[in-house]
Amino acid sequence: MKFSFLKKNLKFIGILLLIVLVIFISVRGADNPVKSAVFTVANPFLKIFRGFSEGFHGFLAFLGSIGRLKNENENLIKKNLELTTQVARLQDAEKENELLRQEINLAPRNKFGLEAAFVVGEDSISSPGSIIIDKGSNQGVAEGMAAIVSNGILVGKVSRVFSNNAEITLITAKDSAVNGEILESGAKGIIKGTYGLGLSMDMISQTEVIKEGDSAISSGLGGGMPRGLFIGKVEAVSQSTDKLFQQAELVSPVDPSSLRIIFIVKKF
Amino acid sequence: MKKILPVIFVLFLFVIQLAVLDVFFAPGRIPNLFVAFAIGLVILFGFWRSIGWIISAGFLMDAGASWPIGTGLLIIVVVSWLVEKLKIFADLRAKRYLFVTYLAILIFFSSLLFDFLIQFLLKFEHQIGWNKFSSFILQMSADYWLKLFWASATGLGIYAVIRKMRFQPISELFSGK
Repeated sequence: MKFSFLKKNLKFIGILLLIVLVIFISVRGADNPVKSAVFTVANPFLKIFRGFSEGFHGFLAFLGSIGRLKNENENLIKKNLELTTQVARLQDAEKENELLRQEINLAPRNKFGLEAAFVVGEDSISSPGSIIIDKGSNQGVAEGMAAIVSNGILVGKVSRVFSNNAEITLITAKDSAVNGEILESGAKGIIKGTYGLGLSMDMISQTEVIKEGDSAISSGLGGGMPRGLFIGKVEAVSQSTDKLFQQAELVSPVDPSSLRIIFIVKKF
Repeated sequence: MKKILPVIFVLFLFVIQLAVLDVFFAPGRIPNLFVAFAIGLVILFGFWRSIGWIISAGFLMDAGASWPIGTGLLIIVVVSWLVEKLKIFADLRAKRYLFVTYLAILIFFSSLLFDFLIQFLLKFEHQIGWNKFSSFILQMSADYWLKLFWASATGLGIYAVIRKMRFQPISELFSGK
């Protein structure tokens, strides 16, 4: 009976064995050059299609919002007046911020060696929460480098590098782990993604005092990532299940689905 | 030119899967177009006439994924083969609405089976030390059910397109037949 099944499906079993051989060769280093070649060829098409679909999505969103535009316009005029006064105040705060950054030894943002990159795709099949950018090892991008948005907010880490592309694991992805610190208290912990939905900071010592609204930054521990990149604000604090540590839920100001351009921190 | 259309269509699916779907779908709800494509082919032409295309689609899927090349391909071939075994129920084409419902359900469960099997294969690859990086955790959330629903809906669209195209076995593509 068993023999007859094998005999009947010999061709199919042969194909399966061939594919297993492909996996075997692939995990021994053939994987990266092949993927790299595919991405190099596909890159221009990915860029064009992404650009077009973003434009189309934006147009649809615009059509859906026409009714709201009048009210929004009135509100914006009011806001504009408020913001004009705030700008003056913020210019003063910026100076103070620079002084404070020097005081607590944070790297000045303008000193980073940055590589700008366009988001050209998302690995939606195998690891949701990973995006693909159009810069790779040829442009000096390497595994473990931090990915930020223009104003110094950490969005992820380079997880795989091809010749002209790289994959970024977003900090909200389930596989992501970043050494973090609470700016106000200096409490250290590990910031992890919660299945693409948000962020949580674990392993915070019970002796540390953290509260809602505190800011979480990268601690720079473990190397590869500069200290002082803003990650998010504390939304809630709780105890870990074993009561040994505290946990904090964080909210990132960046919506990962709206990322278009990011910067890779090559030097810091 | 007509012979090249299927090749362009498979490459088009790759670009759509990687660069377009996440713009329109929320994370976690993005359907796997390659599984829907493979199922559509098996229903239309049978497993053995479609095997070349299924392997091409599986290869492209793996090229854009973080797991080793061959992983998704192995599962997509197994799922397509299992669908071939069920194909006897597909002789409903004369009853159009019944057939569409059947196809949608088939793509729904094939996508579920694909995710289920890939989860085990990746765990196995972890255990034998072939794959240290990628993992896949199947979470039965509302997002996941929506993903399967979208897979069925887009699968019907893909089926309609490949039915119009002259898909031949890859071996015959350049033979001038």
